[in-house]
Amino acid sequence: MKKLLSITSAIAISCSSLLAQAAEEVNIYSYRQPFLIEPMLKDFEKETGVKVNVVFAKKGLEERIEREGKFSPADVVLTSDMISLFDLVDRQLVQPVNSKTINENIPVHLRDPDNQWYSLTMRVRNIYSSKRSDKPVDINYEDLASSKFKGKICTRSGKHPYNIGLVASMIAHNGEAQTRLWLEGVKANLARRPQGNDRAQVKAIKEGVCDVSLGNSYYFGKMMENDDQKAWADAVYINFPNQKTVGSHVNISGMVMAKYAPNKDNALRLMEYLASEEAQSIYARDNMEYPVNPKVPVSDTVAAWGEFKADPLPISDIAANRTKAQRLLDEVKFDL
Amino acid sequence: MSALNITELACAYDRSARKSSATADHLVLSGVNLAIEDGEIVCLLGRSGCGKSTLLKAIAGLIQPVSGTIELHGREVSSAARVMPPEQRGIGMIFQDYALFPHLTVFDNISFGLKGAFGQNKQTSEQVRQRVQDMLQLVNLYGLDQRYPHELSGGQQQRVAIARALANEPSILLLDEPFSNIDSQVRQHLVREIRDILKQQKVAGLFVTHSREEGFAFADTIAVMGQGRIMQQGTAFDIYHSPDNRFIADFMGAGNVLPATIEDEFHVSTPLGVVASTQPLSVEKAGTSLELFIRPQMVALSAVDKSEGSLTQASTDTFPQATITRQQFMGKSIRSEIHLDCCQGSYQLVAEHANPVAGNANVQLNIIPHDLVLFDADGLNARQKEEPHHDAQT
Amino acid sequence: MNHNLPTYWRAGSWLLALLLFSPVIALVLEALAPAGELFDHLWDTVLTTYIVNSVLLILGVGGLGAVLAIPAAWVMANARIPARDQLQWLLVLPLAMPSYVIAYIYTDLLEFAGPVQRFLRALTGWTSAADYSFPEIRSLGGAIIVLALVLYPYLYLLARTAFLEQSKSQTLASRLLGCSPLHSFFRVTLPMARPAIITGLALMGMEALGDFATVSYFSVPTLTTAVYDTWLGYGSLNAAAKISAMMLLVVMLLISMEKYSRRKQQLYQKNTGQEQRELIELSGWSKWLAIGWCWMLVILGFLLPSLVLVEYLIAYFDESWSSALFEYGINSLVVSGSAAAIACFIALFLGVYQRLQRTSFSRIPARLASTGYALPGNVLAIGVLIPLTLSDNLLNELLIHWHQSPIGLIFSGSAITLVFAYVVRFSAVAVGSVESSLGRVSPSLDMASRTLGCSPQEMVKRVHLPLIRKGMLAGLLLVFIEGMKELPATLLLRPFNFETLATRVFQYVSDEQLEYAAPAALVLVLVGLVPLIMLNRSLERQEQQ
Repeated sequence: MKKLLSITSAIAISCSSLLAQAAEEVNIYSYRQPFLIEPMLKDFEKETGVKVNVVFAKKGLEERIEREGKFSPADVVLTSDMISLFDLVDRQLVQPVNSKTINENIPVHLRDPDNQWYSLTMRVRNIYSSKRSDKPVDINYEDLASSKFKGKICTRSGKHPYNIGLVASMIAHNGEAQTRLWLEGVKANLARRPQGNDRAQVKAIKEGVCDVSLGNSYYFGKMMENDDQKAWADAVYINFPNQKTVGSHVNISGMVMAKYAPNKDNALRLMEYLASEEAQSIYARDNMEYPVNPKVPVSDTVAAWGEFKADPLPISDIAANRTKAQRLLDEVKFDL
Repeated sequence: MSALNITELACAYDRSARKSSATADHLVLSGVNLAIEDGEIVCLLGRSGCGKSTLLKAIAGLIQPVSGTIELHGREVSSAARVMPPEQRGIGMIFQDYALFPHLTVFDNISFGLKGAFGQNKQTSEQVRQRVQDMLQLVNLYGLDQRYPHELSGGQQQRVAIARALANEPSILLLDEPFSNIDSQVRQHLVREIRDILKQQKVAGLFVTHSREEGFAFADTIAVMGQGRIMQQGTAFDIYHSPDNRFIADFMGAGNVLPATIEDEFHVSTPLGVVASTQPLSVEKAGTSLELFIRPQMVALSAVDKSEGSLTQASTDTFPQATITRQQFMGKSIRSEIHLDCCQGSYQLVAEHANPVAGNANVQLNIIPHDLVLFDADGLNARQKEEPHHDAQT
Repeated sequence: MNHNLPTYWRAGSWLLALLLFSPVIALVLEALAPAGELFDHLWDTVLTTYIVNSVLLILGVGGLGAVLAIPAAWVMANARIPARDQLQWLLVLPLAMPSYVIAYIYTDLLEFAGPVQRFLRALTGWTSAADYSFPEIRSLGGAIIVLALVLYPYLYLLARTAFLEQSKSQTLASRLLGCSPLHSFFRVTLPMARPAIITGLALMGMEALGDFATVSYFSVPTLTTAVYDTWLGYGSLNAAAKISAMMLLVVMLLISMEKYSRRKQQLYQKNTGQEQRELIELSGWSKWLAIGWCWMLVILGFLLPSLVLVEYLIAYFDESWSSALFEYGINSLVVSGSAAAIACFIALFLGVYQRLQRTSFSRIPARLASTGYALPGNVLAIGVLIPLTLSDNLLNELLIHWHQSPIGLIFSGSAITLVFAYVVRFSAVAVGSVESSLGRVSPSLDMASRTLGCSPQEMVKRVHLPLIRKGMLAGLLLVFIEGMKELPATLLLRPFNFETLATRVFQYVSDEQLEYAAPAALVLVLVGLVPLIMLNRSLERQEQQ
């Protein structure tokens, strides 16, 4: 019994110390992996003296914020894709931010006209192809449904936000019926059931399991840097699809200010910082992403992949189709 | 032909002993000889730890002997070289904990041995059903065939166990303390009933118990076990009244012990006086100091009428007067503890008699002449001329 | 005999039970609202596959687990083989291995680029994946194998105890009635151990159904995936709650199966067990088969994965070692440890209430408190979030109403939420072991201690507690180990800057870079080992009694 009491009191103390919040701090709910944002956050802490607290989860944070209601400690939410970003907005869990600094740093097509959400980085949904054959001169997402790729395609789960984003953009461009046919075609061409992450697909190409795969651009750069994975990246070409048509699908990572942010000022400072050249160049350098701040150049590795034409369709138009996309993926049983 | 014949059986639990040079220390059983005729019921009587259970296991085929053989109906089933597996021996066994299969109904328990490896019938289902009904009838449980074991009383469960064993028509039935978990009120009845069943079915039985009353009631002959061997085998009466040694004598029931020397062929002298024997005594032991073992019912008491001081017994047979320190009503008899001060010592004796001694506590005590039991210094029956089942251990 | 427990005890029992039951209530209430056409859409498209996958997973894990565990349990209970004493506890160790770690390691070993297939290619001269077919580890079959390898100890422990409790005379009786040893095993030994085996299978089934990490790593969509998808993908808590309710139903079925078989078991346990146990000497091929079987389980379920982890640790030590591991370790220890202690306290409280207050309702609190085990971790996370945030909001509103400053989310925003979630999810384990140990305490002891002048509380303290100490310890250790490995609820409910060993490991597993989490994974396994070995010791001692 005594032990029990002492344990309980130990928890109570540790809990209350968690609650006893420092004067200057900002709370982040993050969908992005901690190690991806840590460098910027460290930098921010150093610069401002504001302590940054993070909760990281891959899923379910918007549900948590909603349940927490107006006492939610969340100030800023960082998302790793457009799907969760727009879920937050649609559920009215965000508040508009009025910041000239941010608006100057982020181009207008990469932020909400109502200032509710902002992109932080961009990434292309590339098609990787095996070096066993020549680099395709021109390749479109639509081609993945063609019979010439029969049994040659690898991808991660269709339900992953990156793929949902792509499917949503296909719906936006080609309509739902056309996209369904496309998804069925792609599914029929799969070399194996969707599994693993984007890197695993490149690895599969290297192993000869398949010839083409879908994957985000930064993975290519990340793999180049990794001793174990460099061989995988060396086995593939990175291709920017739909260059002759609508341009490559670009997904974004983003940020919002939580509706009931208790540390609103610090939240604003953090958001401004993340859009700044400093933070943006870390994104570009460390994460191999395309920075949204036009003043920041891409990293040398990324620059070597060349210029490309991005899909100019407004992000909100694509994101509007996300539920339809998810349903289509269910209906064609893409993952099963 | 013998249903069971055990010759010079030695068994050990220790593995090393079993494998090679078995020394006497490792042996749980040594030099066991036992024969059971067809239809005969033998009781193996002994204290716990005397090797009874080991002997049963050896007969059932769970233990490989170090030496010696076991034969069932003339067929050798166990030797140091070969042990026939239990399922091929045609033995039935009844256990202290009944060992009914709790997941099966009474019917399925009884028909267990009649069915094949995975429950398929060896006989037609009608034959099986008939056999089970016969067995239920036999053990007086007709109509309970769909019950589960836990729905039956202990006595009923043991009857099911009997039925299950007999349904398989075993050549011999081993009964391992089958009544020790049964209520004492039911026990006597059940013992008689099961004995009758065995006799009716003409099945040989080996009944293991530590209770001599059960053994007397159940068996034709008794084999007393001790220290890993069979010490004496015979009818209950013989063993009770002429035990081979002091150990058996004590085990068969309480007795009074007095120092004694043989006077002549029919008399021994004790500190209390001379006691007469109805059978001749071995006079060559005359002069050596022996122990006289007297069963309590051989001690007769009579009230002393102090006013008259007259005695009913012949004066030569009489002992000095004694005092009853306690009288206890036992049901069939009365047990008296007697204190006696005389003849350079004080003695405590126990007597059993049919009627209470009336009046005051002073009694006249005398020993009824009978076939006297005398033990020598080694505790062996002094009348025996031949060396008994001697072994290295004693 | 009815003992009058003080009011606080009676009221407290119901209060605690309802507290632990509140997530389930919240979910059921949520599920009752109409879900609209989303649910129909799911039915029309993927739900049947999810259900089929879940059912196949449960059956597969149960079937394979039985094949693996029952022979091992029998050998350990009955046969003498070399290193038997060590194997007794070695066989339990896979329980300390999180399924997602072992899933990752086997994928690494068995996939195309893994050493096994590389070796095959070198041997045969095949060059590409098209040249030959090799079973895909990332499949339902793979998930079944991996889960069976880490879950079989539940069945092994229960079956071993059951075999040990069986009276030798029953086996002998069947042999004398004409059964060979093998037939005797199938006709007598196995059916008699059935209640324990079914209990073990039900436990394995629940764990398999609730598994999230392994199936998501293997991309095998099950009902757990469906819950995530509908809740977080479609944003419909209601449809998710409906699916959860379906799963709850399945688990209720498993539990009632388990309860039913345990009811019979009580009637079975009449054996005196006074006889001395003699171990069977195996010889020839059967001996080698027994040795090989047991060691295969230990190697596949524990030694091989541990070795791989050690190899990762050595190869990636510089990149992966960080002093933050201590912090994660302490977080894991504190949360799991306090959850285990609280769960055991509640179990005792409710167990005593049930024993001493023999009314028709007194059994309900213990049952209510056990329902949480039926909830897969992610479903539980939703369930826990609802009542906790509600009470947080209520508390803060009240404070504002009384003109105090609000204190924030003291329940849902702190580690309390994790402890609560673990207690809700795993207290059934503690309740179960306390109940069964209390059941072994003869009721006459109650009468004896009461007539000797003990109050009910005194009796609990002086008689019951000492007697059920071992059962409570077993419950405590099991809850602790489960808590250390718990993942889905932890991922979703943890407070700021809070990382446990499990979340750390899983983050890298889901990133397919377990190499970098090798230290955390090893610590996680090692921390689980100590209580497991203790658990096995105490179970063995119980068996000897």
